[in-house]
Amino acid sequence: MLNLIINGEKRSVNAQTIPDLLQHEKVPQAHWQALAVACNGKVITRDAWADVAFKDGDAIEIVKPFVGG
Amino acid sequence: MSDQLTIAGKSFTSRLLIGSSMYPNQQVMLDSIAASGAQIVTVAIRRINLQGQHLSVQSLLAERNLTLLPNTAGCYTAEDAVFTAELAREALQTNWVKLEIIGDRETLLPDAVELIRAAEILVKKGFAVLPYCSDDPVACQRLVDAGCAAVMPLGSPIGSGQGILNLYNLDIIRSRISLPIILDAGIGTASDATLAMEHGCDGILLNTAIAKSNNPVLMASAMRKGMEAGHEAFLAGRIPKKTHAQASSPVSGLATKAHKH
Amino acid sequence: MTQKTIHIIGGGVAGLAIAWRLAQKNIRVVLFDKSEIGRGASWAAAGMLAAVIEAEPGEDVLIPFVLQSQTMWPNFAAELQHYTGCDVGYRETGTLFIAPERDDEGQLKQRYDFLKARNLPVEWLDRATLRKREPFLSPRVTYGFYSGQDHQVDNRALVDALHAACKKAGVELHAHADVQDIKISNDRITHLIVNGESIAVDDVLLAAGAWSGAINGLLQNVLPPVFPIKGQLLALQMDMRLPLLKHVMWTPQVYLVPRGDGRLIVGATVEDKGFDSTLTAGGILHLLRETWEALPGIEELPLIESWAGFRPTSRDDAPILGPSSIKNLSFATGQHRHGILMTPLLAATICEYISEGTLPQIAAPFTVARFK
Repeated sequence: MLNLIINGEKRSVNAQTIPDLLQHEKVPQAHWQALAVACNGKVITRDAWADVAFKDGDAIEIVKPFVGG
Repeated sequence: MSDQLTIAGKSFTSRLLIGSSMYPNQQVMLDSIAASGAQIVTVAIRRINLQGQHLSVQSLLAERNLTLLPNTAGCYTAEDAVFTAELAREALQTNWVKLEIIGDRETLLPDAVELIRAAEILVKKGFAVLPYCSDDPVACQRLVDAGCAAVMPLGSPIGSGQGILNLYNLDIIRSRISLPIILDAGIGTASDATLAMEHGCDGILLNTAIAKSNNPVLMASAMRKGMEAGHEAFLAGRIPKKTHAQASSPVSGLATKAHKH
Repeated sequence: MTQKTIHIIGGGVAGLAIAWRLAQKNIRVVLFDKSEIGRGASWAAAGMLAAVIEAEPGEDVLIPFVLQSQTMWPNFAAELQHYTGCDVGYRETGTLFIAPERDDEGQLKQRYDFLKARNLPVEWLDRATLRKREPFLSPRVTYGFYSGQDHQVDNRALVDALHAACKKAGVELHAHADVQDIKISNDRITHLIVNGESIAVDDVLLAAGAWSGAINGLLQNVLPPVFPIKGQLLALQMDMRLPLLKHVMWTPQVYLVPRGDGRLIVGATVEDKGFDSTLTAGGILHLLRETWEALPGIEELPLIESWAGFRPTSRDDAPILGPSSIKNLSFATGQHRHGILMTPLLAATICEYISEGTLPQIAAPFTVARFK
């Protein structure tokens, strides 16, 4: 188990990588293509999602497009 | 087609950029976008919520072959805006960004200092930067110098519908800047859009005037026509204003009623 | 031949009212709710029956449906009360729409023009008339309009009454019964997996509110496209000897619903936040500030409750009713902000659809096929 801060929320999760985390959090696969993920303020490009291993205390941001002007 | 809106090497037949927010519902949004003819739609970038699914606005828009322009709305510093732009680039696979840094929560006016700073950073990182800025010719010039792909001065405050409050400034901006000028914010109705285009704007970005109309789809169509009319009038060139009347019919040769003697 | 059974997923007012109607036709109904019966949007709602005041652009197809359901309410409430002995708090209070701030006045006039253009019955009120009807309004409120046919019901009393009606009519109600999976073969549902147990089914109705869009076992192209739109609400307790408000009242920002027992329900935020039920400072501040602008006397009232719920919302804010692409699965979901208002007509049309196989004309525009 890792203690992560996901979108500002402290959580203990059993996930090492971004795909793990998205599956763990039940984010539907159909939504993955429009997501962006950053770890400790650094954007992780999609092709590196599976390569970055989280460490305890990492701050993860997961965002997507919403309506806006 | 030569008469297109070209920004950062990409060309569009429509000169209208439209926001995706505040419509009564998503279907009205989609119908309004279609009626407006817009090819570029702005979206915001926000945290997903881990408790369940959201309305997927991105897939609805992408299905319709619309170009999505992510904004940095909600950012108050250059650093926040740069981070949001980088996330947007990854989420939408685009290097375009509507750079929006608000300096005052109440008036929603842009922060010129942070804006210019963020523009410089983003340009270096390879972004095509479209900054939402004040109608200040100096600020616009500084944004051009920073390497922006266009400038997007406001007509009046966001959502106010007050139209173009400083045409004088807009004219100066047009006369000094050869990059695309997109009037962003303040449009209230179709004639405002016409006016902006008559004054040489290359395009308009609007949202509230359509979304909050009593008939958004019809207003979207009105905006499209108003912009087309204004743009054609700009290309044709208006006549100079004169102090005195000038008759439009010939003055000589008028038939006279014969008088009997 | 044994009679067929209807299995209903979701025990909100929609599922309950349809179950009651079916049971009255001697159809066997089994209803599952993943938590307590009727504790989702049905419980969180404010109970406005505001077909007129809430009409919005882009809803020209929806308006006749909600107007018809509105006309059914007096009899529906009376019938339910007669059948169960429960008072559902149906009150003919009428609804006001006012503008507490200068910037709201334009919006008020725009709303009024919109409703008038659709021949919806609203009446413009000047300051004096407004003040006579609601003497505690802020002195800054200068205009308003009135809808004489938008009333209210106590939605929690409605849940309890429908629950009692279902019991009395013999509906088999199962609370905390989570439909974890759905087994499909040849475009028919064969079994529901409920709390680990496999249950063979004939016909299934999905009426799971905001959760309808994410039921396990149904593919994306089968699921009704319904999403949760979060609303935060709160309740203040008025002094019954001197109630601050008598009518349901809207401003461009919030609505206020005065109940018979003195509770004043204030709602609601509109947020795309998934199933996050957090109450936020900003949400509650918004509700209280906007209420205070209209009705400054609330300062003294006890704040007795605050909560959040999830509107089941579709792309066009209209419901999703009737057939699905699975032969024995039908839908009654996507009511968005009109779930309480729609209950009588929803129950009548879906009951007819399930029992007779034909979807009444009034509900025909609302099948899921419109999104294809």
